[in-house]
Amino acid sequence: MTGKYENKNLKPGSFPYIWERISHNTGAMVGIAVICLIIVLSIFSPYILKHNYSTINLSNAGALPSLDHPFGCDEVGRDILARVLYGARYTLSIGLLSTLFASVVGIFLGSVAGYFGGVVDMFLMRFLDIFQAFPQLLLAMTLVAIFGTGLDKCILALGISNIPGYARMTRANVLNIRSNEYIEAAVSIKCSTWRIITKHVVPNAFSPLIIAMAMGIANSGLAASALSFVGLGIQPPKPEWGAMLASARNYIRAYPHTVIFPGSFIMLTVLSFNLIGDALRDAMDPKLRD
Amino acid sequence: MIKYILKRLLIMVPILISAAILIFSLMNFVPGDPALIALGENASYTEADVAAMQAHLGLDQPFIVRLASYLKGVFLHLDFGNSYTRGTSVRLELADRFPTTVFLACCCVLLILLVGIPVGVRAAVKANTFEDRLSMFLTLLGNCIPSFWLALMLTLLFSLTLGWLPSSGAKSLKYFILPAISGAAGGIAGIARQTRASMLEVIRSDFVTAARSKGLSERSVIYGHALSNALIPIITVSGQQLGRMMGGIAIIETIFSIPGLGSFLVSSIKLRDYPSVQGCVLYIAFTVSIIMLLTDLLYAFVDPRFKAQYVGTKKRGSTK
Repeated sequence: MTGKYENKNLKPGSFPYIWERISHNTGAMVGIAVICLIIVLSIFSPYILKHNYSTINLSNAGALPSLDHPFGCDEVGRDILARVLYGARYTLSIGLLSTLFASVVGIFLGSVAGYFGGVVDMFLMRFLDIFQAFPQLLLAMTLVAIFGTGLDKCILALGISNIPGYARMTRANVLNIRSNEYIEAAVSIKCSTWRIITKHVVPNAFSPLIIAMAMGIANSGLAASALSFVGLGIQPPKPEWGAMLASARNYIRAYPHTVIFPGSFIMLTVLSFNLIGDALRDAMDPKLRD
Repeated sequence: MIKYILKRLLIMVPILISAAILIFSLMNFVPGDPALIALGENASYTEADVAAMQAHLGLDQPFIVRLASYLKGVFLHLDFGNSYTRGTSVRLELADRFPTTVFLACCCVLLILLVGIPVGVRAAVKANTFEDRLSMFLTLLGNCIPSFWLALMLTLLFSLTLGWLPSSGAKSLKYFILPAISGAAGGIAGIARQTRASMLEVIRSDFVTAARSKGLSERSVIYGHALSNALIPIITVSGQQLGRMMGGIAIIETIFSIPGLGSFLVSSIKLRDYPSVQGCVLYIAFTVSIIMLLTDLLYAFVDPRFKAQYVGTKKRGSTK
């Protein structure tokens, strides 16, 4: 395995090296292609599709897949293909934004706790322990109960429930890095604490976090559709995949095909992000491999 | 050993108390007057009715007083207050639903362990064959499939098309088959992958070769010697899966209309019945913490190195 990558003289851990390894990973390339395709189709779906995602046409209610409607129509005759593609906006944006929010806050808290140690560390970690006493999805549900439903609140709820994981992970990495000689060297030349954390500690603690973030996008998207499915996330008639399944579920006996497509898209998206995450792990941190 | 258990319990108690404070405080900042929710949204009421209801619910007292009495109720009497909308005691409601959820969770855990571990072991033994690839592909899918969608698909196939199994309710064991499968799918996949990974690490060790050369049957080499050494990371992942599963079970219960804690939580959130939400979340958090404690204790029984840490040097010295 190693010989293939050595002859290009790439430094392990550098971006070209990681890209070189990922581009040889079929699963990851399929994952990246699927995600890009979904993003592009979702952005341009209103312009390239014949049907609008919200146009109700009762004469088409429950129509089976046909040339005109490749995925068929839902219980009030809306084109499912248009709805599924438009709905990708919700799942992807919730996944990306909540992961971004959680990781920024989590990395900040974790690096502060890990770098300063002592009372700060204890206080922060015990505070996060309280959040971790609740299973993640339940914490998100409780936060939804407090904030209410909707896109922004869903992002916030899922983001907050993910913070402790990132903080804990960052802290563990920072603790490892802090004992290295290059940190001591930086301190000895009077490098400011802020600069040490942002320039020396966090970048070196980053690779496991990147992997966790790739998986995190998938999990948050999954959690968002689960919340929407039980009516605690995005509300129908918005075409979020979980919300679509929730309304299709009432007609599952009459129109089973309406249940199949939104769910398969959730699975496809989650699968793609997981494949990318797996490949990142293989490329960045050989020790973490299965 | 006792020292370790005590230490864990001592850490757990303040966390649970803080968790109760956190939930109570968060719920306190929810916009909207609880008295209006208790009176019902469409009912006609006067100012005096609202004031009377506020007094009845204890809302006219300052926050600290309410928090103290809530904590006292929860930790001394396991009393979570009364539901706004149902008017009944939350504790009775929870106690009524708890066994159903525990039963469903146990079914899921059993499925996860009984299917996940053998699949992982088999994949590791047959590493890089077609069988291994196939089972790893299936577990990858199992990891990604949304449990609620799997539940819908299973209902579509087994209840609506074939008519073999019921699609909602919780009257007999038969009603739990589909919920358990859909709740366990993700966990089975996770455990199978973890088992395969840690078995692969162990399987080439010298002691496994030694066991084989001793003439032990392949079965006892794999399950007796290799698996017991590969078990520690598997336990860690099981603990994590369990926490994740409790959230998933809430959704599964809602789909199959199983009268458990999860469906109660979801309906309470929709009714904005905050004492029920609060009570239910705390109840689940307590249960999960206790289960986590038990998984941690399991380490001690499985891993002798871990036990040695706490037994201390004194005892070891005395046996010499």
